[in-house]
Amino acid sequence: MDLIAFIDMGGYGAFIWPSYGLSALVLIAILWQSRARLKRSDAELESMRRQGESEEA
Amino acid sequence: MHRFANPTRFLKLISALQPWAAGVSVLCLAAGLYFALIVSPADYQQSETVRIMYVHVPASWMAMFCYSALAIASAVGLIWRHLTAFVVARATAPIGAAFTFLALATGSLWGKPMWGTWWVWDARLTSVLILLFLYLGYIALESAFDDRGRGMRAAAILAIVGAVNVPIIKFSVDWWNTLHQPASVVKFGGPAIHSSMLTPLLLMAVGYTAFYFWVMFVRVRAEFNDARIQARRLRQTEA
Repeated sequence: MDLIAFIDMGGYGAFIWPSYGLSALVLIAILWQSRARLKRSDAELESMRRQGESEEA
Repeated sequence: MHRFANPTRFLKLISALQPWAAGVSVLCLAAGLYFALIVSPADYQQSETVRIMYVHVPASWMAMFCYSALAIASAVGLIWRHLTAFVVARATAPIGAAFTFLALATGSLWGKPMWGTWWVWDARLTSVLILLFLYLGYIALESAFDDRGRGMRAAAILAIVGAVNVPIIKFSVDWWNTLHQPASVVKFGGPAIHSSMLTPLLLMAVGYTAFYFWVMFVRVRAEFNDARIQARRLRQTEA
């Protein structure tokens, strides 16, 4: 397949690729932000639990 | 009903479902992209720009699906005083807002080459813009109160009242004159779209739906973690 023709998309590449790029960007961003939040809170809970155990000991 | 509200059981369920949602999403999106960009043909009227449909239409469906989920979860939360339902609503709102933004942005990128304009104030486009404002209003209202419970209830009422917009969006292309084309997949008499285009569209739609559940599960788990962290801090200050 001709790569130039694929990127050009019959002259509409300037509209098609930004549609796909923006969709990927927004979806990956919200997934990444959500997972980072979960990891951060998991780590904080774990450190709280350890702290609690060491205080009890 | 109240047994399902048990957060521990709910968390176990969504933790088990999360890898499945992630797997279905990644597989369907990968296959969907292959069909959308490589296998499917150009449209005889819209030429290559029809490929924007494969990211625009699923995003628009999800914008409405997420809002319906938001309104239903809000109603369940208000009526049965389910904390879990409120948490699902809270986790859904930003994902729905993201899909609505994508529906508007990709629609604009499709409108420019096909209609000759980025934007028109017609019924379909305006009602979807209102949907975005409803999501943003929900998110703002939900966090506007010091008392989290009050914020959740106030935002839930907004979500339920705003649900009137969902059928307006769906039928706006039939009720008013618009540049936007009418429904061609979800309609009486079956889809008016060839299978070469329906395949990537449905793959992308399933991929987007699974993606919503994936991210929603992650956000719900983070919400419950945050609540536990706050409860522990409160106990520490009281001790």
